[in-house]
Amino acid sequence: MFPYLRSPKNFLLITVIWSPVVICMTVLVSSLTGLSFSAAVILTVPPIMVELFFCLSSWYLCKAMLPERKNLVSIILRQGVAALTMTGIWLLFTMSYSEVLDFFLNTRIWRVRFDQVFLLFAAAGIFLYFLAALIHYLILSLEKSREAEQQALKNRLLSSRIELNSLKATIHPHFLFNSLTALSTLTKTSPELAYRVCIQLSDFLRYSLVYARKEWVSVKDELEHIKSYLGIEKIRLGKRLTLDFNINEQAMAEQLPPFSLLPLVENAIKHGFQQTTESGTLTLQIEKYPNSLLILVKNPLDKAARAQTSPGYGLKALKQRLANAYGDNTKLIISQKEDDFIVKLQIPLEGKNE
Amino acid sequence: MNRKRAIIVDDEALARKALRMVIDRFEEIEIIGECSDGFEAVKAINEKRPDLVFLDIQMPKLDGFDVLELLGKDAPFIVFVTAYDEYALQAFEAHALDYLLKPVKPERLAKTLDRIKERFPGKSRQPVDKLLQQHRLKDVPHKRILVRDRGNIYIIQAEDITYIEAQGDYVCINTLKKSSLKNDTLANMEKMLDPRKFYRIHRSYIINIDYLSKIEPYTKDSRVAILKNGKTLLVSRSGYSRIMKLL
Repeated sequence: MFPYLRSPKNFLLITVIWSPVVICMTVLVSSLTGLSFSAAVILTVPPIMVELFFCLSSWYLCKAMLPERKNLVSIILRQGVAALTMTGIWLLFTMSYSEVLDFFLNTRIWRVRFDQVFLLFAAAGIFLYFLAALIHYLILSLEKSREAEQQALKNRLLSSRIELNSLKATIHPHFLFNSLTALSTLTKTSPELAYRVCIQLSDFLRYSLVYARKEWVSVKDELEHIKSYLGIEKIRLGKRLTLDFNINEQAMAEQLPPFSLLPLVENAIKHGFQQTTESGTLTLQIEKYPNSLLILVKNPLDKAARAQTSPGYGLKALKQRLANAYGDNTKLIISQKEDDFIVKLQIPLEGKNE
Repeated sequence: MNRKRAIIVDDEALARKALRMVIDRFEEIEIIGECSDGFEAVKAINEKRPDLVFLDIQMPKLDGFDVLELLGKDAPFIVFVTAYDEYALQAFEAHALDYLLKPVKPERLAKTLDRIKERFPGKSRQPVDKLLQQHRLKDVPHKRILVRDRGNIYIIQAEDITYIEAQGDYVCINTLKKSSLKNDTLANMEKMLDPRKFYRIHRSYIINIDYLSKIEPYTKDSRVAILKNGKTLLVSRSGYSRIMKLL
């Protein structure tokens, strides 16, 4: 029912809190009307207990009408109407109660006594209603701030997890150890090539470590990064991999979040070249339009290979990171035409978040 | 001392060479072949019957597990090699199988060779059955089925299968173009394929619902399924109630 009545313990607590109200009202009634204390108890205690339920039920009204700066007046007015209505109903109930007492006890005094305390009861009813509403609002605002705190904590956890995952995603252990394996051979068979792989690998790792902390990088930097990655892959895959870069020079200076390109080419290598024994071409195209940058990566897809069921983890993570950086203004389109797998990424040149 | 004859399987030439350079330090191993993909591997292993295979896990089309599945009971002693694959490593650990991490260290290879001598004197088989069982249930439903027919390997796309029939120790997998025998059980097939597409209609048959044309009464209390290519298959009573429940 009410949030306070969920457990018997709360129910007890509320009764204890309410008892001073009951006692005060009884004493007030007794002293103002000159009734004996026991008569005051009979007249006052049951109605005031009922009033408790009226007060508790205003919780829902309070919850439905949360005060903000601009609707404060209207809320006070509406709560005023609610206070009058509730108190009216309560007074009606109390009057009926006094008449019932008269009827069963065969007297005519309770109704008269009710009339004596009518004004006191009306004032108390309205006062108690507003008091209850105030307490409800207090509790609601406490709950709200606790929720906000929890949400903030959750957000922080989420963003740090994204950061960790993106770092993990940039350096695949599989890539690293396979490259080192290839390197171990090259040191013996062709030191010159081994030297080149060492340089490319260190460039690749340095970028992953240093640029992970930056918020924006240039297309040129990103290109250098994927070139060192693809250079190593090319040595490992040999003639299975041919590269075809088609980059608009004007796009070079544009900014984008770090590691925007790597997941695209990694996906192509993983699903296009490591899944087939045939040779093929990886195409990377970057076009600059007045308001956007278009990045296209194309790789052949071998039908006999294990079908790619869903966009890989890398692409999904990229989508998430781009959404963080640009909001809804990016498009990542994955398509398959005959034996080609195409990923198109469109990002805006203006309107970055912040 | 009789030398062990070994085959290296890895899709990357530099990785094969790396392993060869390490193995060359050991007199007791003689490399009799190198394969750059799973198809070649199954073929070479059948023809050359090596004692030992160094098998890479991540390879195009057929990975190390696929090769192991296709070799079945003919598999020689397998040493798994992987750069980094959490799933594979867990599987090997779980089934107490030895594996090498790339780049391979000579000391580590020496240890593996010692273990082979200790634990598998003679030609007893490795405990790979459970490993395979686990692997096969990993990417369920399977989009393809691997079949080895004498020397050849076929990859059958699940969507092309019309029906599968149990035949003793084998299952006969039928497509519109051909039928192939696979050493497996119908129950296994049922577990591997997409349950929304494939229905067990009889003790001996699984059909692909996409190729079902209609079900007709046959005798008083039995029915037949007629496939789109005209093939007629018996439907058991429980098979019929199963298919009616799901349609």
